[in-house]
Amino acid sequence: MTALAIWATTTQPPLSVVSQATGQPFSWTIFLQSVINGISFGSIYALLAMGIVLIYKSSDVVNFAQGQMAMFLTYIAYSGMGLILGINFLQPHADLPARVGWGVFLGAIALSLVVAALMGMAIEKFMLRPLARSSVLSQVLATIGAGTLLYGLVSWIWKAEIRPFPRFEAVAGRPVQLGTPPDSIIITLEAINFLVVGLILSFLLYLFFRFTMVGTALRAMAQNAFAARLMGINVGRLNGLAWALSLMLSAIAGVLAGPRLQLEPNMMTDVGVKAFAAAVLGGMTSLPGALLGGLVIGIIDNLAGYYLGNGLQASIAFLIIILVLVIRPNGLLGKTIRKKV
Amino acid sequence: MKWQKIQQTASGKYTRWVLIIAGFTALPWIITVLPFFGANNYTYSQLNLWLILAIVCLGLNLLTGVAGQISLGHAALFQIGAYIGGYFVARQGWPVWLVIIVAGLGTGIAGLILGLPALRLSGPYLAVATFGFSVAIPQLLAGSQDIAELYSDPNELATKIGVLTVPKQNLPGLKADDDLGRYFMFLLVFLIMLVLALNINRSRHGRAFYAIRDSETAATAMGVALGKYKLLAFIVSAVYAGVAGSLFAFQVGQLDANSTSFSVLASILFLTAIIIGGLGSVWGSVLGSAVITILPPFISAVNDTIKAAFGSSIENFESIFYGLLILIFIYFMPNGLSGAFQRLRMRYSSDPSKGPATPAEPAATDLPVS
Repeated sequence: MTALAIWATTTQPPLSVVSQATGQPFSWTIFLQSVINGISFGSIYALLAMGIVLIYKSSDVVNFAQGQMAMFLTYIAYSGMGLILGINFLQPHADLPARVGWGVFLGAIALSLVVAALMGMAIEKFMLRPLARSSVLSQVLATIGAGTLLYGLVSWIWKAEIRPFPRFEAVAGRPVQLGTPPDSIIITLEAINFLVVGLILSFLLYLFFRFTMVGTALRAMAQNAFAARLMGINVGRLNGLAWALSLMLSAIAGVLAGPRLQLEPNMMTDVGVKAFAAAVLGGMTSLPGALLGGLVIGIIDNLAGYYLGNGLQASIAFLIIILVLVIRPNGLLGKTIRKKV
Repeated sequence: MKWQKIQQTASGKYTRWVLIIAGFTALPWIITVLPFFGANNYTYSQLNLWLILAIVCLGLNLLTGVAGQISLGHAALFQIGAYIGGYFVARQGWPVWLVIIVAGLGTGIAGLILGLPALRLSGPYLAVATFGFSVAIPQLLAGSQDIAELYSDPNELATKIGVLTVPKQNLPGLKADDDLGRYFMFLLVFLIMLVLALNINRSRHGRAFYAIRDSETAATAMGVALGKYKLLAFIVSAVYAGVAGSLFAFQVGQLDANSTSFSVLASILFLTAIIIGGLGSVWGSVLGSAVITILPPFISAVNDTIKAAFGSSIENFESIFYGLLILIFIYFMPNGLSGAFQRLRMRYSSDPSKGPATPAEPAATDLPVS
């Protein structure tokens, strides 16, 4: 019951159900509630995971800084809201309203998306293209370095304090309640929003890759960049596009999750780790896999958090991932890649 | 004496080691030349932390630089070593030198477990598996009451779960707070591990590690047992982390499972150190960890200057610094400091035929591998 109360309040909600049900009889209501919470926040993991997969498929780079980049873009959206409302967003205790309407919200998202696209293309062109021939470790560390740098810059520009992130008015309404109070399941509009946006974006990505010329070119490039180049595909520009798309997904994930996580330089650290795990679980090369992985991680995370306590939550998630990987080294939906010498 | 003669004498096998040992012995006094490092306990404790970091990096470099297996889980191995070391000294009262060996071997077993997924995974998958290890171990040590009861002080358990208080250890006859004395105790361990690392690199096993890094397929074709050597690399690397961990327990006196010394950030710091020093280079690990250790007071001095100039200091300033440092080394000095020294030596050497001591990374092929 405490779990539900915490979930329904608006201040400082945890990522998952916290309470530990030791000694209590098993309750389907609580189980279902955990699963639903898991699915809804799992779509945030899925959005970031799809971003990681997009980058990995196009340029064979694992972006360890996806979380930090999402964090930076959330700060950009926050600043966008400040700009539109005419509030000095840099000052330590900027009083942004608790709720914002359509205009401000969409304006902020638009700004964040534009910055995401430019940033993605710039990172690809100036940061990773020079490393195309370097070892995997160099590339991994370059993204980690970029993430660390972003973390420092954000703490510098916006100061490392916790700020509430304005809630989108349309989804701040009363939560939906299924069933009668002692045995009811509560679903906030925000949670529904996470899932709906996640699914819509996944579907749009599917359409993009299936039916557009650029999407087909991206698929060709993921399959064999060398052959794609011979076919006249501009591989460099497409890589930039993949990075831009990836960061735009992260920006949306950040803005959606902002009110839940609250704005601070560490807001995405945990989410980034989980998203990364989700991408690997799904197979690293499969977008549907990333979506599935995100939802699965979300559910495991919540169930483990509820039944085993917060202490062991992440351990269980990673244990399951390691087990899955040992049994299926290419993830749930990944393709087996045979290496030629 | 001519310069060449001096050089020849200095590079003689035994003379060289005499010089190296003399250098390390004199280091606590030499380092006081640097700003911020006076002849005080702070300096000596930093030196001790440097030796600890260097031992971890020797092991990590063997695994990542030599055998080519990425590990983001070394902070967890380090932590396991620290807790084993702390437990046997604080709760069982075993002699220190025995405990160091036990911590090394115990962590070696943990390394075996960490290495098992490596048999089937590579690249990003391996990074995630080891990363998960890094997340899970602190949680197991801090979050689980059952495990915490094993090592915590029963009187403190209720208030501090995951905290293990260890009496600081020193050479026999010296006070526990004497960091300069402890430096020589750690130096002994460090030198043993250093000689071991140098010898492993040059051994048959070391060559097998290089072969695996350069091409797993080619290594298998040449008769290198892939699984065996990958596991061996993980185990040896873990032994290094474990030994360093136990020394860490003797140095700091109190272990907190949730501290950043054992978090994923520490794993990244270890990797940063070997990138700065130079992948696959034993002396590179020593140099890289020295850079990481020397930097903090300089960083905070820069931040103080900023505070004086602009009125407020920058929070998390070291993140900007480390981020830039990683990027600079990856883009401009991909072979690290040891690579730069190697180049200098080749340029001014009397015998240019002496190439780099360690095989360089192979150039990536132009052909698509799919």
